[in-house]
Amino acid sequence: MSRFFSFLCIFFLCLSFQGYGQKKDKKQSDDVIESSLKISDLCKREESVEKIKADVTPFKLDKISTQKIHYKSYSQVVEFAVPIYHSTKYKFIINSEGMPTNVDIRLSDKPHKQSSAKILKESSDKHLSYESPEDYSGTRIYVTIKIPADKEYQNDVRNRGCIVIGSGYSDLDF
Amino acid sequence: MKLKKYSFIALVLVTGLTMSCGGGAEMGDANPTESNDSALTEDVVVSEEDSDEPEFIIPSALQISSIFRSSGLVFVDGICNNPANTANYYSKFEKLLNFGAYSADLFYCVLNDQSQLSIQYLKSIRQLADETGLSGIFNAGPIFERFEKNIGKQDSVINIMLEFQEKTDMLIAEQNEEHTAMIIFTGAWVEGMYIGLDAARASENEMLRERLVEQMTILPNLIKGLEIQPNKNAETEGLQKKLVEVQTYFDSIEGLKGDDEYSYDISVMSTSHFVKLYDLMAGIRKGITKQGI
Repeated sequence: MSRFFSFLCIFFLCLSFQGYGQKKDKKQSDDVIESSLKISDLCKREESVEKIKADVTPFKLDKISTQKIHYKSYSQVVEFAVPIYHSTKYKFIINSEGMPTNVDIRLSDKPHKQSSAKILKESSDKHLSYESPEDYSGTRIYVTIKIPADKEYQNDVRNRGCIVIGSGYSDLDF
Repeated sequence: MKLKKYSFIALVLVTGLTMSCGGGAEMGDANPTESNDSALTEDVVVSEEDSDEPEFIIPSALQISSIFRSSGLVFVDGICNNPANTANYYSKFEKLLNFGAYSADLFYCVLNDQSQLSIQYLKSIRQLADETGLSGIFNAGPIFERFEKNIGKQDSVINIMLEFQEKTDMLIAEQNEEHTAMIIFTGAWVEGMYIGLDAARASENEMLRERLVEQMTILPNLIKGLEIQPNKNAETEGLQKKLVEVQTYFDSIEGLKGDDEYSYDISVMSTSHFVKLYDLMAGIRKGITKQGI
C-alpha cells in the first residue's frame, strides 16, 4: 500500500514539473509574438467628445460612451443597443474620427439581423447626427457599424481605433 | 499515522495541481489592459466583438432620476440609503453596487434641491471610489470643491453631475473595466426603482407608473450584464437570481406584454402589481445597502 502511495506522489510531482515547463515555454512564445506586433491606436477620445458636446446643442447632454475597436483580418459588424424612453426626444451623435478607416454606420429600430428592422439613417461620415422622431415607439435605437478588413493584419500590424457615441435629450423638467 | 500519510498525499496533490494549473493572473486575466498586447489579449477581444447580440449601452442614471422627477416623483425624507452605511461595505462588489446606489440618491437629492444631503452623498461616493480604484474621478479635477461652491444653483450642479458621470465612464473605459460599469449601474437602477416604486404603490400617478414599467425593459440587460461578469461569485449570482425573480414576476402579469419584445399594455397594471414589484425591489435593495438590517 505504501509503495502505491509513493508511486502516486512521484507521478504527480513529475506531472506538475512538466506542466510548469510547458507553461514557461508558452509564456516565452507569447512574449515573442507580443514584441513582433506593431500596435497602432488612432483613438482620439477627447477630441471626439468635444465635438459631440458642441454638436449636441440644443439638447441636454445625456451620455457619452466610447467603443474600442480592434481591426481584424476580416470585416466585422458590431452592433450597439441604446435604450431610450418614450417621454423624451433624443439626438444621437456618432463620431468615428478616431478610426483609421471609414466605417459604414446604420441606425435602425431593431437589430440589423431582424428582417423587419427599419433603417432610420445610414452614412459613412466620420461625424454623424440623428434626431429621433417624436412618435418613435421603440425603446431602443440600434447602431450597427461595419468595419472593413485590415489589409495590414497579415504584416503583424494591429490597427485599433474607437467610435464615440453621444446622446442628448430634451423635454425634461430641468 | 494514517491521518499523517493522507495529509502528506493531499499536500503533494495540491502542490502538483497548483503548479500545473498555474496562478490565475498568469493564465487567464479576464480583463487584460490595453498595453498588454499579447496573443491572449487578441483572443479575448475577438470573442467580445464577434458576439451575435448587440452590445447594450448603459443608460445614464441621472436621466432616469430626471424622468422620474418630471413624472411627479417628490422627495421623501429618509428614503435614500443612509450615508453612514458607507463603512458597512466590504467586498469590491458591494462597494461598486453602493457607489451606484449613492449616485442615484445623489441625483435624487440634487433634483429635489437637497443641498446638504447631496454633499454627504458625494462624500460617500468619493470614499467608495477611493476604495475601488476609481479615485481618478475626483483626482482629475476639483469636482467635489466645485460641487460645494455651486450648491443651490441646480443647473450648475447638474452640469457637474454630468461631468462626474462622464469622468466615471472615461476612467472605467481607460482601465478596461467596462464590466464594473454594469455593477455600478445595477446599484443605481435598483435604488432608483425602489424610490419610484415606493411612490407608485401609494399613489395612482399614471405617468410615474408608465415610466417605471418602461424602466423594466432594461432589467434583462442587467441580468445579462451580471451573467457575463468575469469574476462571478456567490454575491454576483445571488443578486442575479433576485433580479431574475423580479423579471419572472413582471413577465407573468397577464396581458402586460405587447406585440413585440419591448411594448407593454400598462392599463393591466393595478396597485397590487406595483406593491408586489416594490416588495421584490425592496428585498434586493436591502441586500445591497444593508439598510434596516
